[in-house]
Amino acid sequence: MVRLSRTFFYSAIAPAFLILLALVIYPTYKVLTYSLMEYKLTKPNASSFVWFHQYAEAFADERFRWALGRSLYFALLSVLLTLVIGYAIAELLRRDDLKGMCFFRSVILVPMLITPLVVGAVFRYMYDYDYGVVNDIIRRIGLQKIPFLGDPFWALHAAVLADVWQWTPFAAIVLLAGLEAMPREPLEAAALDGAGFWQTLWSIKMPLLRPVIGVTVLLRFMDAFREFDKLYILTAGGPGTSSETLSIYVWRQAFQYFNTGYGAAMGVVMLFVINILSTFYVKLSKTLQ
Amino acid sequence: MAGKRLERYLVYLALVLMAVVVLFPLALMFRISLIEPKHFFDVPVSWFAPVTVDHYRHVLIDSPFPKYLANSLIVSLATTAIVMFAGTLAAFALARHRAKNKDGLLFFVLSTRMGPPVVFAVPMYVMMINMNMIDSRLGLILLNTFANLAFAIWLMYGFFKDTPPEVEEAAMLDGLGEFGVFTRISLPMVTSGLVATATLVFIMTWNEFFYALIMTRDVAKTFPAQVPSFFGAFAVDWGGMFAASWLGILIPLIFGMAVRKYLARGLTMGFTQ
Repeated sequence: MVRLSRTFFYSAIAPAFLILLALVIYPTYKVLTYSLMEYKLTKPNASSFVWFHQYAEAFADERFRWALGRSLYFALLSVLLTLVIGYAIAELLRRDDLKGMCFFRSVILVPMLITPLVVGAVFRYMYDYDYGVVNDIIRRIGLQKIPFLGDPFWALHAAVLADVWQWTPFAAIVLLAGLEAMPREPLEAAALDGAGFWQTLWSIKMPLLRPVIGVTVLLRFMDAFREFDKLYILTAGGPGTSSETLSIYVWRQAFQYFNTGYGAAMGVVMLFVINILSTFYVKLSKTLQ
Repeated sequence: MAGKRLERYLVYLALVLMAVVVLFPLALMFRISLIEPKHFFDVPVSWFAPVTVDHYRHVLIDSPFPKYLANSLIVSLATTAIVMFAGTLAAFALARHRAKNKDGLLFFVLSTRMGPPVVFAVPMYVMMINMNMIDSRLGLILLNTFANLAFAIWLMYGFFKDTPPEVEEAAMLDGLGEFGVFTRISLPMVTSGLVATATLVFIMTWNEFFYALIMTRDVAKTFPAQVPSFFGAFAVDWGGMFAASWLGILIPLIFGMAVRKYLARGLTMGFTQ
C-alpha cells in the first residue's frame, strides 16, 4: 500500500470537499430554514417563522398528495418497463455470434446521449392528435386515435413512454454486462438437464443477476422519481394537474408562484421520501440475498 | 438446422425493430428540420418533400441561438475542468489512503448526488439572487460543478482502485514525492478512465436543463433552455426547434459514442465494470 502523508491526503481532498460543503451543507441548512418560514420571494421582508405549519399544510394539500402519488407511479411504471424491455434487449445483444452485432450494440446507446429536453420535444411532435406519427400508426391498424397529451389518463403515461425510450438502453447495457459476466457452467448444466427457457431464466439467471438488477432499479428509480425535463415540455403537469409530479409541483410553487417557504417544505418531504425508499430498498435487497 | 436458422432470423428481426424504434425519432427530427413549414403537419410525414436549409439558416444567423450554443460549450468545458481537477485529486487520495473515516467520506460524497435538483434549486436560487449571479455563466458553472462532482469522484475512485499500487510504491521508494507520484505515475495509468469520466461530465452538463431554465434569462442561457421558446403562443416552429435540437445533440452524440465502452460503468457510477 502506498503511504500518503496526512498533509497530502487532506490537501488533496480539500478542493472537492470544500466545494461540496459550500454547495451542500449551506443550501441544506437554508432549505430547512425556509421550510419553517412563510417566505415569499416577492416579499422577502414579510416573512415569518411558522414552525411546522407548512408541513401540515402540505399533507393537507390534496394537490401535493396527488403529485407525490404521480411521482411514485411514474417512477415505478418507468422502472418496471425499462427493466423488462431492457432485459429482452440484453438477451438479443448477447448473441455476439451474429454478424453486425457491433452496429446494434452502438445504436442502443443513442437515446441516453440525447438531451432529455429534446427527447420530450420530439415525442411531443410524435404524440400530436392530428399530425403525430403515433396516432397515424394507431389509425392505420384500425384503432381509435388517442389524444395522448390532452387526456388526463394518457398524459402521464405518454411521458412514461418517452422516459422508457430514453432509459431502456441503460438497463439493457447494464444487464448485458451482467449476462456476459455470468459463469457458463450452470447454464450449460441446465441446458443438459433439459430446463426450459422460463425455468432457466427464473432459477438460474435471475439469482445470478440480482446484484446488477438491484443497482439498475435503485439508480433508475431515483432518476425517474425526480424526472422534470421531459414532463416539463410534454405536459407541464397538464391537462389540469393530471400529470403533475412532485418535481413539477415544487417548481410551480417555488418558481412560478414564488412560495419559497412552501416549496422548500415540500422539497424536504421529497428528500425524506427518497431517503426512506432507498434505505428500505437497500435493506430489502440485503435480506433477500 | 432449419430451427436454428429461423431463430436467427427472428433475432435479427427483433434487433432491426429495436434499431428502428431508437433511430426513428432522430430521423424524424432531422427530416422536419429540413422541410418547408407547409409540410410540418403532413400525415404521413413527407419524407421525400424538397429539402430546405432555411430553418438552420434562421437559427444560426437570424437568432441568438449560436450564443446559447457557445454558452453551453463554455459552461460544459469550465465545469468539466473544475470537476476533473478537484474530483481526480480527491479520488486518488481516497483510493490510496488508509483512513478510518474513508467510507464515511465516500458515503457523504454519494449522498450529495441523491437529492433532486428541484429541492436544492430553492435555496440556490435565493443564494444566486443575493450574490447577483442570476443569468451568469459562473453561477451555472457552480451549480453544475456541484451536480457532477460526486459522480466524478466515485468513478475516478474506481479507476484508481483498478490500478496496481506496486508501481507507485516503487516510485516512492525511489524518492519521488506524493504529488510527483500522482502526476507522473498514477494519472498516466488511468488515462482512459480520465477521458471517459471527463466526457461523461461534459455530456451531463451539456444536457442539463433544469438549472438553466430557472437561473438563466439570456446572457448565460444554454441550448436546452432555448428549445422551449420555439413553442409560440399560436404556432409551433417545429422546423426551427428541430434544427436547433439537432445542432445541440450533435456534440453529446459524437462524444458519447467515442467513449461508448465506458457508458455502462459510467452511468452506474462504477457499480458495474
